[in-house]
Order: sequence, then C-alpha cells, then structure tokens
Amino acid sequence: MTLLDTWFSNPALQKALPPAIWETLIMVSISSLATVLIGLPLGVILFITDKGGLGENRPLNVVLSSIVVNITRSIPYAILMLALIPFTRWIVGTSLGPMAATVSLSIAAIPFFARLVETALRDVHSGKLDAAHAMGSTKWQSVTKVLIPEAMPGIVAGITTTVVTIIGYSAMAGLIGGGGLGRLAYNYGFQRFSLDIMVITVIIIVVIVQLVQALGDWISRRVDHR
Amino acid sequence: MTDLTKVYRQGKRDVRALDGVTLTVPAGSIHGIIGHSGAGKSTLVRCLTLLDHPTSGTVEINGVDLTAARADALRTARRRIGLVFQQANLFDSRTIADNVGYPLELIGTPKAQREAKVQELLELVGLPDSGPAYPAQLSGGMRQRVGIARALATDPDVLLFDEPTSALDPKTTDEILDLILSLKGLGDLAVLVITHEMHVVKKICDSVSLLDGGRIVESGPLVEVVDSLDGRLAEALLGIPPHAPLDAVGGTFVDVLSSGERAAMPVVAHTSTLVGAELNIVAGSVEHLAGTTFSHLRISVPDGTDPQHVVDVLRQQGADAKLTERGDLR
Repeated sequence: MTLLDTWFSNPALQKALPPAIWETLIMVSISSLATVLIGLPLGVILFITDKGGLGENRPLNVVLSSIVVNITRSIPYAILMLALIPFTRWIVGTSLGPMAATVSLSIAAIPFFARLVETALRDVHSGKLDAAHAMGSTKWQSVTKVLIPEAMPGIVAGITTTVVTIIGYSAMAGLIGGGGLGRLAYNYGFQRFSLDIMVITVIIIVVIVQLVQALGDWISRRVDHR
Repeated sequence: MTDLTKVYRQGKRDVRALDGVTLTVPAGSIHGIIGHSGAGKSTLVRCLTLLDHPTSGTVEINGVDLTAARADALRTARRRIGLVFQQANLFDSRTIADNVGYPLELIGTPKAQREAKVQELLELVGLPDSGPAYPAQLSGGMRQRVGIARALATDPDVLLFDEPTSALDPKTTDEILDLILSLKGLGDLAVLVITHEMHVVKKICDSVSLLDGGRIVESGPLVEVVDSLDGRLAEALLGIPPHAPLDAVGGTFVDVLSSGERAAMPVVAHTSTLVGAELNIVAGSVEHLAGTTFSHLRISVPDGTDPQHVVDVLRQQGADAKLTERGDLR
C-alpha cells in the first residue's frame, strides 16, 4: 500500500472531506458575493464623497472612512468573529455552521474590499471624469458609465485579492464552529494528530486559492483595454 | 463671455485666476487664446464649460446664458459646447465607436441612429475603420481625432480646444490643425482654441487674444494685431528671433514693418538710395498670416546718418518704422 492509498482509505477523510470542501466553498461564495454587493457601493461612496469628489460630503466621508472602515479593519479577524457572535445569532438564528460564518467573514471583508475599490477608482484619470461631466453626464451616469467601467481592471483585481483573503479567514472561522476545511484541519489534523488530514486540507486550500487567483487574473485581463 | 471672473481660495489668500474676461467669438470663425502657463488658460476652459462655476460674469451661447442654468438645464446647455482636451481623455474601457457615441448615449439616441452618426463623424475626422478598436490601439494623433469626433457628436454651436496639439509631434500637430481648419465649413460652428503655441495661432486662427494674469490684454483679428511694431501679440507672432547676434553690429537700429504687397517690395534698398547710406538688414522675420504677407526687419543705420530721417523716409514709402533702443532688446 502506498502512502496515497493509506490516505484515501482513511474513513474520516472519506466521510468528512467532501462536506468540508462544500462548506468552505459555500462560506466563501456567499461572503464574497455579499462583500462585492456591499463593498463596491461603499468604495464608490468613499471615493465620491472625498474632498474634490463628484459628490463631496465631508461629514459622511469622515464617518464612513475614519470610523466605519478604519475601525473595522483594525480589529483582528479572530477577535471580530467572536465579538460578532450575538449579531450573527440575530441575523441567521445561530452562531454555528458555515452560514453563521458568512456574517463575520463579510463584515471583515467589506471594508477591506471597499478600500481596494476606492484605490482603483482613484487611479482613473480625473480628465476622464471632466470629459464625462463636460459632455453633460449626470453624476449617476459619470459613475456607472465612466468611473466604474474605467476602474474595472483594478476592481476585478481587488475582488480576487478579497476572495483569497476570505478563504484564509474562512479557515479561521472553522475553529469556532464555522465548519469547512478549517474545522477539518483543526478537529482531525490537530486534535487527533492526523498528519495526512492536515496535509490534504492544506493542499486543497492552496489549490482553491490558485484557481481563484488564475480566474481573477484571466477576467482582469479580459476587461483591461488599456 | 462677459466679465468672467474666477477667484480661488488658496489657504488664506484669494487667487484671482480670471479677472474680467470679455470676449465674443462669431460663428464660422476660429479664435485663438494664447497665454503662458499660469495666465489663466485652464481656468478659462473650466469656467467656459462650467466644470468650475465662475465667481462672477456670464457665458452665453447664441443668447442662452450658461452661467444661469442649473442641473438639467446646465447639462443640456453643455451639449452646445464640444470640448477637446489636450490628452483626448477617451474612455479606455469603450471602443472608439462607443467613445464617439457616448454623448448621444447620454441623451438616449436610438442605437441605429447613433451608429450612423458615429460612422459619419469617424469619416469626417479621417478614421472610418477605427470604430471597433480600443483607444490604447491608436496613436496620439488618432486619439485626438476621436476626441474631436466625440466633441462634434451633439452638433454643438461651439467647439472648444484646450491645448489640442501640445502633446503631439510637429507633423501630427499640422494634421490636426488641418482637420480643425476644415471644420470651419461645418455650419455655424464657432471654434475657440486655447494654446500656448504661436504656431497654432498662425496656422488656423482668424482672430486672437492674449491672456495674461487672468485678463485679455490684447485682442483682434490676426491681420490687425500683427500689423504693429508695439503690440505683444505682434512681437510674439512676428518677432525678431531673440538669438540674432546684434551686439557685434554697429550703428543705430530701426525696426521696419510692412505688410501686403509692400512686404514684397525692396523698401529698405530704396530707402538706402534715398538717404544715401548703406542700410544693413541685421535680423528679420517674414510670415504669411491669414492670407497676408508680413515682413518685420531690423536694420542698422551707420553712424553719421540720422536714423530719424531714415524712419521718416521709410514711413513715406508706406512702411511702419521706429527707432529701436539697444537697451530695449532682450
């Protein structure tokens, strides 16, 4: 029997691995979707309410940027996910399982992604917005037809980085009952000293990250006409 | 534009970038506004297009006051002005056709109608096959042509060029200037070109204004502003090359300006004979501007001959002339 056969005949692995992968994918997909849906508008608002922006609004910008985004980003994820347990229970009815983990994952990733979006928007040459403006665009048209499409390569790269970060966090969420590959590695690999389970979990996570990165890079190239 | 003024607050100081600019550009003509960096050119462009709101004064197009318009009315009014930028400012995420069609897309022009108009405009600027390409695939000169097509998409009354050729090489500059010149025939288009390049003014403008310190200090038809020995625009457009080696030349300097048919006549040689002294041409510039030839010569009058007499004789022959002090030469 080779080493691989030993590993694949491990009953714990056979029974626990497929649902763990599934849970991780669910967790990462839902929180990535929520992060993009909320983080993209937040990033746009951060950009346009800033000084000299399309809709300059200092009070709103200070509240969102200095308070909401900076404070959330400065709390380590391990602490944030514990602190959010009551909130999570209120939202999804439980603090256990992959669905519960999506709440803290999203809340940790949204400000991170919003900052990446803001940076991507800042890279759009101000002359393009002047051109949009001078041609009679409304603010909404300037944002949706010019600002976001022009920043799209940067935004896609930001989404890729964010999804990879969420995958990393999701393993941590597994430790406090979030499920997925993180819990598999901790319960079997660490607590039961199964080196094989530990190694295989790590390999699978690395493969998922590589696939996400490759897909992200490919899409980014497709939308980049610069 | 009437009494256009823009004051910026910079820290605790007020900076008066525009100081009562008044100017009228008639339809069917090209007017140049020339000025050095910091003269207020960029501010003028931003105020004319209402990208920045002027502190006071008005901008009117065919009797419609843009400065009084707000929100929707202002967006509609902006479509009366086509703006062409120095760097074209095309949208990289859109094809050339979609760039040119953008202003039409904003007002909800149906797709078929839009495509027809875009193709017509691309043909007008000499890029009939570039529709499906992206801006990054085009050269600087081609991008500028697309910028012009885009500015024309809404059939504006005014076409405003902001340093249209400053980022281009000399050959491409001339091609773009020829294109701008050809647009003069398009209905009642008033063209305003803001630039720091004298070459642009010489080649395409019917009239010109000099902007300095936020004010228009000289203005008029090209042939009139050049026909003077004192004006700053004349000096800039038809100046004696500053590097002419005059220190080694003796005698008294006299500047002579003649225009039209006189520019082709041997005025200086004739004067030499009349005053009985050898007048020496030490520097000069001859230009063909707005259909008229101008000749601006600097001659040296030898010691022993009365230079004022030379000036008088030159004037009798229809040329403009004046004594030039060496101390005034830069």
